[in-house]
Amino acid sequence: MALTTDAAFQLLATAHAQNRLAHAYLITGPVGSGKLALAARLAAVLFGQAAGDPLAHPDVHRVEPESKSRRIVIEQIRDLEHELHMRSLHGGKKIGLLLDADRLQPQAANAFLKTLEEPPPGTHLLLLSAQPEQILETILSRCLEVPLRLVEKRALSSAQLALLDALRAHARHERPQIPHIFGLVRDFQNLLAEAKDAIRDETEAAFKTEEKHYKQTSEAGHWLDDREDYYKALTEARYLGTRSDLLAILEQWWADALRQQQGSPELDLPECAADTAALAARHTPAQLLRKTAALEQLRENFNRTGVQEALATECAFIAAFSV
Amino acid sequence: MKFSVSKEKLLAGLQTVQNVVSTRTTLPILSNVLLQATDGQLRLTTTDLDVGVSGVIDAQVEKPGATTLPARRLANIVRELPAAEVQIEIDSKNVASIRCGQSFFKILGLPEEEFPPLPKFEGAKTFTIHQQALRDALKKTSYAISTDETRYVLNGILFSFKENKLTMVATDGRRLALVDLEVEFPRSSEGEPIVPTKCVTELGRLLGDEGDVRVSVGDSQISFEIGGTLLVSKLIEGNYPNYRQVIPGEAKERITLERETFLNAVHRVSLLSSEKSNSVKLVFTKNNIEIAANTPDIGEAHESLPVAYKGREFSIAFNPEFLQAPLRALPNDEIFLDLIDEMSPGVIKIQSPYLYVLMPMRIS
Repeated sequence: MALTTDAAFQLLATAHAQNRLAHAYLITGPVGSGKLALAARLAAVLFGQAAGDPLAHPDVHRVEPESKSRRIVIEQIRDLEHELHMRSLHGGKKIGLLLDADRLQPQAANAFLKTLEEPPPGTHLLLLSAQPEQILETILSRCLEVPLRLVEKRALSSAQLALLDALRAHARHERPQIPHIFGLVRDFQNLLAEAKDAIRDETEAAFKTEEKHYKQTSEAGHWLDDREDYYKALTEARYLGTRSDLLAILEQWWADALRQQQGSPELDLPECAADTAALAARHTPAQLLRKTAALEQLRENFNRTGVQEALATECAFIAAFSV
Repeated sequence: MKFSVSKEKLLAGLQTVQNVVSTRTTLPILSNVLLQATDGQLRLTTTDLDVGVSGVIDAQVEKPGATTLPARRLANIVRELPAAEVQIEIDSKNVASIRCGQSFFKILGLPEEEFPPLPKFEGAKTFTIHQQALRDALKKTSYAISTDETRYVLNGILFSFKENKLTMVATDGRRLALVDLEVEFPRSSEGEPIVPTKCVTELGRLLGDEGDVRVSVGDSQISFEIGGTLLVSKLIEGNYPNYRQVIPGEAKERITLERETFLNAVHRVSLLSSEKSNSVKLVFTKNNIEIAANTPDIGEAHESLPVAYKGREFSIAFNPEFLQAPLRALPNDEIFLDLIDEMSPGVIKIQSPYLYVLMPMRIS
């Protein structure tokens, strides 16, 4: 059963107090469920640290997806293993922290198995993942899972709110025609393009700052090249995240209509209850199911490589927003 | 910060610490050298987070202070400077102006606060060893360190401080080198740290012939103080395997060999050992060893070596590289080869407390 971070922390702290903390935990839960916060609280207990960011402790060895394809690659795992096989800086515990463990490249995962099963003395491995179903079975079976659940719903982003406005406007057409649908597609694509530009500006600025600070003042040319790749990957990954968030709004929109039809009181988007109720009245359950299926298909297409984003979007929108 | 220093001293100081700076750093600041100017002294420090080196040189300090500068860039400049006296001035933005004779250089650096401090030792156990003895012991063991990255505890030398003895051990699972040194210390200071390869290499470079080295062993670090130079390293985590177990008992045969003659013969014969089997065979007969190797389809080599041998006739095969490594490292004219039978490990010994255990290879 999924826990709140507080409940999970209590369990781990008790385990630590009784000296039976496992060597590897897989902390799972949706985005915003506090996986990193739980890792930080556990680290604070392990290091006996009261102030500051416990994850900035020199004995926390962090690995996160870095390559262009946003994977954790085998070199990163080898470096991590090297660090873990050295004594800790202060002679205490060490933590190996893997963010987005579902992005472990299969070779990297395989190279990691031995360490994961039997880490060096005094080492705790914390694997974090929002999509544990994508982790290799061999990794899963070597970790204790700590499932977390969302305590509070995240506030909607401005892009998500803008998309809701567009959806509301679109819902006013009782019999939407192709031009109306394409108008909505354009709104969706404009939001994506804006998000992409904003993200790129932000990561480029971050890279520029680092480059300016280090380029002349040190001899870390390789490091800067790696950072450039890292920021490119970060841009792409953050864009994919934003796209996925926007797609979630579309899914929730039709899911709410379906819920209203069935008289379920819980809605994902309570602020749009009136709009989704109107849609519920206008469609049959079979129609609504077809629409959610079309969006599900779109999500699947987005996850594939080599799919044209614009084309996939148009096809899905025609299926989801025509009558 | 402003100081002047002789070119030779500065260059020597930089060369002492520069080796630790790797070309692929994980943090940009690690490509820089930390310069700290205090009363009449300039301290130079580098680190890669695993190993750190810090050295002191005399300098005329006009204005004390600290900064970091790109290590290689600075060393390259200093190496090419013409005159004997170098004057370096650093402004508040960490820009260094280097003046020397008619030359002028300006290079940029990073603030000292970014530089990770070398660890402090609390409650460390300290030992004093003669520099030459330690250097000699490193030379006799370091070639046997494992390079297999999956066996981390073997990627270094075991420093076993026990019963007023420092036993240094290196092994890769197929051979093992061991040296004993007499060191005085109280019983409470006993311990068995494993010192990583990179630190061993640096230590070998820093040790000289004269004077003592002060070794401090903490829970997770070890440091070596040689004159004004300090080498600090993290230790390898884990327990070293029980090496006593692989040292064979009483030898049946002891053969006394002239080290250089034997080494040259093995080396010549090994030219024709095949890549696949990679072994040389030693055939013992009365007062003779025949060293032989052959590679199918290429050819064969053998060489006879007269020795004093009266034992039974038998043959044993070894990896030629592993057989030659200790022969190259040892200074002695005479070595002893202790054998039991074809299948038991051979042991190379000398007059002083040293031994080298070598697993034999199967003879087809």
